Amino acid sequence: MLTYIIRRSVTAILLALAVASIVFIALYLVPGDPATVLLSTGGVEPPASAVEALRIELGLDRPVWLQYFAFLSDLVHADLGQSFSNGSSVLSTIMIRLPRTLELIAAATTISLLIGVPAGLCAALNPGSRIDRGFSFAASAGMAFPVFVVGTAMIFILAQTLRLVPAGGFVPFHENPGQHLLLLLMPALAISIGFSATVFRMSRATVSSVLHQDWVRTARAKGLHERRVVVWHILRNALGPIATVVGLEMGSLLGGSVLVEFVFNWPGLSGYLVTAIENRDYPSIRGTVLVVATLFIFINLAVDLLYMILDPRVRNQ
Amino acid sequence: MTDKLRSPTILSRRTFLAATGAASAALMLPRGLRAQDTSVLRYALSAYPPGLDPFRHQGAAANVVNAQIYRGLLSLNGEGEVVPELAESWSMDGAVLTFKLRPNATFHDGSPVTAADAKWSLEQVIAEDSTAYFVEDLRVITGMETPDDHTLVVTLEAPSLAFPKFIATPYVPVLSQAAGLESPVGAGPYKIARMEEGVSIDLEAFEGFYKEGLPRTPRLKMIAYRDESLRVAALESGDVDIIEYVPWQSMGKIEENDSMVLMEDTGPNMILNFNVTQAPFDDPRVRQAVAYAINREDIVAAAFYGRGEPLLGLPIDKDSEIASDATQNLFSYDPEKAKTLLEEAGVVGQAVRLLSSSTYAMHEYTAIVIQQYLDAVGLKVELDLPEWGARVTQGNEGRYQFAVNGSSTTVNDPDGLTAMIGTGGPSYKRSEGYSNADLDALLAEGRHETDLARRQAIYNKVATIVKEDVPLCPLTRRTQGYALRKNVEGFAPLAGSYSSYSGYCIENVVLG
Repeated sequence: MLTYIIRRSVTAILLALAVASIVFIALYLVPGDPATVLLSTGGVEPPASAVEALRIELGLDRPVWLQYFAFLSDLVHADLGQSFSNGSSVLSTIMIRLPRTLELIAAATTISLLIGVPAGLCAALNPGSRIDRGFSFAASAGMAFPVFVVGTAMIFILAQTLRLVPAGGFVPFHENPGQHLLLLLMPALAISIGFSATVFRMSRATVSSVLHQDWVRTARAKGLHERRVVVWHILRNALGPIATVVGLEMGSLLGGSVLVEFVFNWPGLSGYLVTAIENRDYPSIRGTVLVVATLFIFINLAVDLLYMILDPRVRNQ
Repeated sequence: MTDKLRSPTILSRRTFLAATGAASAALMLPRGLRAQDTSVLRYALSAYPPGLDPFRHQGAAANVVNAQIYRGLLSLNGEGEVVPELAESWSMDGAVLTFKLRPNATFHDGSPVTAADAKWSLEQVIAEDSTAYFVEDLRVITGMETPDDHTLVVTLEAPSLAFPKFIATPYVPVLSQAAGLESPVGAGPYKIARMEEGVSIDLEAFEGFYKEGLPRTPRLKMIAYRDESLRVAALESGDVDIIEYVPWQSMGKIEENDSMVLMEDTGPNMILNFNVTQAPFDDPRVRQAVAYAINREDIVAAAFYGRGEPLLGLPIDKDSEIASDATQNLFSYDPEKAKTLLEEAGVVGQAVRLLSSSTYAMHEYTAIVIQQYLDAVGLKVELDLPEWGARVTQGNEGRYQFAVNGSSTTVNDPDGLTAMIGTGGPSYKRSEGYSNADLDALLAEGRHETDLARRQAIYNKVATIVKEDVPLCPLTRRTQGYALRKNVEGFAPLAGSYSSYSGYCIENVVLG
């Protein structure tokens, strides 16, 4: 098992490096000179000599291959470079932004699992019942509403009409824990509406597929309590595919929660990435993509390990 | 068996309801009961500043923050007039400007503001490797002297009415020479207390600020709301006291709301630029035709929700010293005339590409309205709508036939026209390849003319040439808005070119 983890980790690092290189090349193919874009924020005309001076300051006057090797050698020293916008370390900015995104993903995943799995189980155990139809309808609706519609509606109802919560934002935990959690809850809920629907669908499908397996009948025949049959013999065997879906969804939220971050003014990693792209801030784009890709790969690794724990057959292969 | 399965983490229905009820009650109570703390002014920025370089252009949000931390020799009052700031008085004698610095002005580190600091700061703006916004405008400085600690004498290559206006903006602050550029120290009314990356900047009043009793509010919290609708929502629900860049579609709603105040004034202009190196826009008649073919009222209605007005003359501020009928009333909506001009030029039915950008709805909608009007007079317009960064590059490289542009002079001075219609290097802000020797001569004359009547006469001649040659087509003046909670007092935003320098007035704001 240890060699497996090591092998997978090495592959993960090589993959991340490949991603970084592709992003590096892709950025040079995208039109828009960083120095010009940075100095013309808001549509002003930058003085030509300032643009030239900034190009030299940012090292953009060097040949591309030289810039690439500088990037790689920095990377070996765990340095993601300095932001073009303000000269601050990209890594330290990511380390500030990443926990906020992880926190949001963790909250959304927890809520989605708490809603999706029990609901899927209930629906599968009572197929065709009013509960099943009700949950399925809610899931379709949940998946159909885009997150920005749900988010905007939540802001309109909860913040503007009922005045129960602030209109989005972020307060550091140490400053005001209650407010922090309240502000976290809103975007997390907005994400979970679609996410829990996905979890529900997957849970319902996999539970239904194991429901009539021989071992379930055997467990019942042994006279086991129904709760034990459901939790140990049905649910546990159904968890594998759910873990896969949840892992993939968590990974895509790393860089893909930009809409919800925008609607709720949550200062996470995706919003940072989008701003960096708008500003052609190459080091910030590369750094963020590299971190997201690495995490994505490791989330998948974690899912595979979870599979091993859940299913002895995978472990012994 | 059942007891063993009853995990402690599984809640009974009753416990669950009790817990959630208590939690939501706890979360909701404080909001309703909390009275507003009037010692903190909360200002909603349109973006988190990408950086706070004192001289570089980094967008409007950086500008408003910098105006709190740094101050220059001169500043702008509520009417947009140049007023003394760290200089208590100043005079202009031909090309020589003399600034008398205030004896009581100090930097945030407690050291006095001296003439040497002011001289050093100006030197940084015009230095060889400078990335300052006004680097080229300030390179008219030919010499600086400091006869004593509080006197700075600046010599320019020629008299200039625009020069004091440039150094009155937040882009030309006086910094402490001792502190240097690595971590610059200014003399503004507020100091940065804390920055939360991507979220907010907390500022606190600088007690040594030279103006007695200012700033009036001890703490200032600047919070970034990138989404314009959320910015309005935050004001509406009382999370912030002032918002900048009110979206046009929300202005009506704010005006109707008793708890909020809208402050709206004219802002930047919209124009069309032409690539005059290629057919058909190398022919002035075609450019004229475009200027007469468009009903600008419809652009105001479609792109700006009625918040603006047609622009029919030189793209200068409404209250510019040269604004008059002769410079502001050059074109009209006259489709018949446009058709005749196109027929004369022999381009009826020709296809042309209009460059705009899908990043900003106002740019896109403006292009769509123009497409319809030009179609009506016989030009087939195809739209090219790349993302903003790509659009800037395309414009700089001259890869367009004609293009929608947002435009305003950098300061309220007619010399700003030189950057738009004078001969110069390639820029997305200027019509590609346009050069007119008569215009250049007049613009050079206008730049150094200090007599108002003579200056007006010069720009009237500029307007006559623009009417015939159409180096750019004026479209609309859009408005710019700030919105405040009712209890905010003392906020007076600036208009026109100076609109994004409104951060200067925050020192006077107090919450009632």
